[in-house]
Amino acid sequence: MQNSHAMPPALLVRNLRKSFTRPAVTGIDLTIQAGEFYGLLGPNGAGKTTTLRMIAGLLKPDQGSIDVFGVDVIKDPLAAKRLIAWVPDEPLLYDKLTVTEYLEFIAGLWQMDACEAAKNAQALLERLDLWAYRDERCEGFSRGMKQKAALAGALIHEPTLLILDEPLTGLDAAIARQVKDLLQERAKAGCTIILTTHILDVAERLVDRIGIIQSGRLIAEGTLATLRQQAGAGTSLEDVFLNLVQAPIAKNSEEPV
Amino acid sequence: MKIQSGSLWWLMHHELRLYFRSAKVKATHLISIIIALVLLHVVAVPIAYLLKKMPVITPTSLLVILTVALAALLFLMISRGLVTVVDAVYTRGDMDLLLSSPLAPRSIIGVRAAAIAITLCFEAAFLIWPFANVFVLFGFFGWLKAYFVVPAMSMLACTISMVIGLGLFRILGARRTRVVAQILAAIIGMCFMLLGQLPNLLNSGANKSKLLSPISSWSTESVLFMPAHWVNAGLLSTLLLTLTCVAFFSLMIYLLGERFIQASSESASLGVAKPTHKSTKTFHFNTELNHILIKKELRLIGRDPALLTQLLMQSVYMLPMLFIVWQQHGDGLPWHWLLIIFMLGQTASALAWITVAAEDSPDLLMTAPVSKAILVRAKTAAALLPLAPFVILPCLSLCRSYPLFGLLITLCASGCCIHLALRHTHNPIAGKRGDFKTRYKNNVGQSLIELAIIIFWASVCALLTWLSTKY
Repeated sequence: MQNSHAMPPALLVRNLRKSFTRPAVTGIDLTIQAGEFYGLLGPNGAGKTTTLRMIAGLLKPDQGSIDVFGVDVIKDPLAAKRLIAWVPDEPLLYDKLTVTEYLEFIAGLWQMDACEAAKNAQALLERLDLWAYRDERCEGFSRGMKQKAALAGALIHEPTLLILDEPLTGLDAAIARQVKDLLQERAKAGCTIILTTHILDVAERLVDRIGIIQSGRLIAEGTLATLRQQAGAGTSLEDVFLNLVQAPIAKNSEEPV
Repeated sequence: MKIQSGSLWWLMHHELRLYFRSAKVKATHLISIIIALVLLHVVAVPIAYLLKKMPVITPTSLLVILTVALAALLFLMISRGLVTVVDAVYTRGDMDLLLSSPLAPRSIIGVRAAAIAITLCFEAAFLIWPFANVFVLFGFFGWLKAYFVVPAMSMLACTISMVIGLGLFRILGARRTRVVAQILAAIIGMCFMLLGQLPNLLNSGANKSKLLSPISSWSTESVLFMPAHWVNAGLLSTLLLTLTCVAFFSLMIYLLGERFIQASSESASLGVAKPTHKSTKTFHFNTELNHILIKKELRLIGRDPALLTQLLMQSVYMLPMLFIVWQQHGDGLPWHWLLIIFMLGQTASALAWITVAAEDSPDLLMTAPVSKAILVRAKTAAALLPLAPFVILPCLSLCRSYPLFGLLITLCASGCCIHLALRHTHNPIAGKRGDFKTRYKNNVGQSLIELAIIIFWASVCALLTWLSTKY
């Protein structure tokens, strides 16, 4: 990611705003360089998922701009979507399809070459230990297997920007390790990854840069070292996070959440 | 009165509470139920009056009518019971909790079976007892037996349903049992609907003699008529019939209780996917966009037996109308073919709702680089494609005798299907596939508009046909 200033950033978000019955995102600016592994942290209801859904093109922002590798998500959504993959916290697979059929369907949606798609599917299923289950319908899968199938679906078309909402919640240690390893591999291979997580240990180990979001705005951003300095707290990310998040609550308790 | 925790009554109260809550019987529904009961009593009055005026029927005819009525009641109850049993014993998911409690397992199964029998009894009694009440008031005291026969039949139906459910579980496993039970229930329900059409079939003299000739040759002493004899003979024999059903029910719980518990425990772990050890085949993907979009929708529909049976039942409910129209035409034209517009229109609308409005993974489609128009087109095509053979059916069937009528029906049926499918693409009522049966529950206007569209196309077809015969 460090050597990418000549090309447009993987993600450029400016003054992003979205309100439902009350403001959910209140002016977020975000710049993520290509190949960067970015973690978006924040308490429940802070606006993380809403931000990611707007980036993925699932929600239309009330205001602001989103560019993915120089492509405007709002003006040219189809071109932007070709570059993006989105994995929600509760992956909704088609219960009556087998995992192979699911991958074939996604490959078709992204209009991939059939041979390349089949090759990628096989590699991903083997990598995620789903090969033996390739002819099983998703309805019989455990939570972890569904998450892995969704991840395989997200990666089959080799996205350049991978967006994951709480990808490790509810997974057992072995599956969580598999997912983390795969994400790290993809990041090393040049894929830009944004994830939200409540597991601070994961963010501490995996990501290059962390953004902390609260009440719909980014209150801190940087590497773990930078954030430690900023917060003036102890050594763990948990201390840093709590320090940063609790300070604005004390100051601005009247602001909307 | 406070029921003691852990007692059989307490467990029964829990079971019935679950049933009523799943049936969503709220205060507003309760008022509707009371109104329906009053209406049924009102409807029963003229029928009772007509019965009073009718000449006395022969004992053989009475036995045949009683046998058919009992068989129909039993079939209907088994059709309902089978699905309820599979749900209550194998899929509801609370058996683990109950069986891990210090309650006796046989009591748990016994109470659950009794609760199923009671719910079956409630449903049948709702339709039958209002008539019995009125008929008794008109002096048909034999109808008092309905208060024994309905509970007896519900216990017998529950016994048969539980035995079939267990048999299916042993042969097919938990997942398939549910599917097969739903299909079986639909088939039984369909048979019941067809049985209900006997009076329509018997309207024609030729049909009547054709159908009744084998029945009239049966001896009234045949085993087939034994339940009817018991019901007909007197209160004591009816009580005997009731006691026999209670005995069957108790015997089933006593003999098979342990097996039900075992099957229920096994079913909790059977839904999980297991690795397949097939040959390491390589993939051959086809990623052509329209192809995969349509194939996905057809796969999802084709692999959902619950949905298919509901679709089938929706068409089966149109059969009574078909029989009535069949009997009515007198001008040479087979007008009953018009009904295919109703059947196809309803099915097209249902399929379009499934493919367009009940998408399982809308987020996935919204994040895909595919325009909404392409998605909607493919989904509409997927909804209409399975109906194509049925749309050309009237054209092919009528091409020799009534080619113009056949062509008009085909065109109007196509128009009706496309019209209804497009309504869903422009005005989708989002929902889940599981809510198929109740998709218009909060939107009665939509179903009325749908019906109006179907009637419009059927009328257009009828009008054009009539004009073509005149000019």
